[in-house]
Amino acid sequence: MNEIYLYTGCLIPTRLPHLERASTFVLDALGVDYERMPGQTCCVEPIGLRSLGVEAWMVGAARILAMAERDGRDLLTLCNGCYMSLSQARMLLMDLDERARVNRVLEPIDLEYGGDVNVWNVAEFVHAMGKRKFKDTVRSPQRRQVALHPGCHMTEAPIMDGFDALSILEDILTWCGAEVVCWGEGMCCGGGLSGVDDRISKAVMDATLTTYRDSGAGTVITPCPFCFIQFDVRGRSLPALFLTQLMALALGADEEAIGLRYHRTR
Amino acid sequence: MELNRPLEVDEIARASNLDRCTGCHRCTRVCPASEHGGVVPHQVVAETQEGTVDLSQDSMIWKCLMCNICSHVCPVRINPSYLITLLRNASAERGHAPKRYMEARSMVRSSGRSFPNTRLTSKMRGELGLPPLNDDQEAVDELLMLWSTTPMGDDGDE
Repeated sequence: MNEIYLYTGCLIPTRLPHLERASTFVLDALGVDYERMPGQTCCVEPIGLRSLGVEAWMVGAARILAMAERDGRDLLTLCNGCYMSLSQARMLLMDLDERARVNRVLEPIDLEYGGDVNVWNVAEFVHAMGKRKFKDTVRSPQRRQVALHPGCHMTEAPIMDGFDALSILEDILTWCGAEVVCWGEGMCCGGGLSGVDDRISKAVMDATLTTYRDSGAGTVITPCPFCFIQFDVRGRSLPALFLTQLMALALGADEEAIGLRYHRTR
Repeated sequence: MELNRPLEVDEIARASNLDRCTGCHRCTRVCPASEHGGVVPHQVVAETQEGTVDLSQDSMIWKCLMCNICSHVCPVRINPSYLITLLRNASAERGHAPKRYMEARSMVRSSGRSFPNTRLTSKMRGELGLPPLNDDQEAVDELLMLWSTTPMGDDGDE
């Protein structure tokens, strides 16, 4: 049986499949035994859709957790939004009364969640595999100065004991051969208001990109596809790489094979 | 607690421990939207306590990035970001949600995904050697069955 379900979410497989390709390249190169999760639906997206209904968010996320548990798999997420939604739902469902209440909603579709699924972000998962495993697999160190943009929602879930999101990401970037010259903790891409209030969204994004450019970074690295699309498609002032793209390049991926040609900002 | 309807403002205020607020304004000082004319978190907290918070489509609650930075810095562990989420739920119930979010809801209701699976998606996935992205109607039906027990199940405005 496969070790883990790859939960691809909505944005990456539809608009940014090159990010999915880089991610599967990394998982294959590291020998991860995964399967794309069957029957997956939206996580439920934690900015716009949760704003319409927290209960719809909870039951949608609980369905995914319960399906993974039924099938004996953990969940591996590629997106900060999916990671936050599923991790937060998992934490709220540690409360036995809340779990019993939500399980009553799940009952008509023959699902029950028992609280026994781990939700991993791909950065956390790769980091847990260890420095030696990763560095032994590196074929092409990416010697570039980078700004590390964790994205606001990366910090919403508890990471492994003794680590925080920023230190995990910095470790991985260093393993890839990059030098972090700017740490974007608390820096926002503005994506939460994209398409809703584009003036505010752009002002916030511009302030963040200015900080990164002024640091001397030549590339911004982010584990979040929403931040990536802000910088690559809307910002257009500093090349952006999704975290698994940097990892894939370090592990020897061909730029063409992982679709870097689809980037708008080079 | 009933969950087949959004909470009203007085219920949100009680559930959010707003009486802890010391008025330090730290939430607003770190808010990336606030300095560009967006939400003013401490004002939302105060107006929710007073029962005067604006739930219209022009309200500042819809000018929040949901970055959650305010909630991280609050010294008394009020969660302004989640407070704004609950207020948005009440505003959405009154029909004031942004069109963008309603479109995403429609997409999930029809395909299970909040972004569209387009011809460009198929082309890119093919070029990259990725499997095609097929809609899973059984999965969508399951989600809609769950949503039918929540306010999101009401599709009368679509």
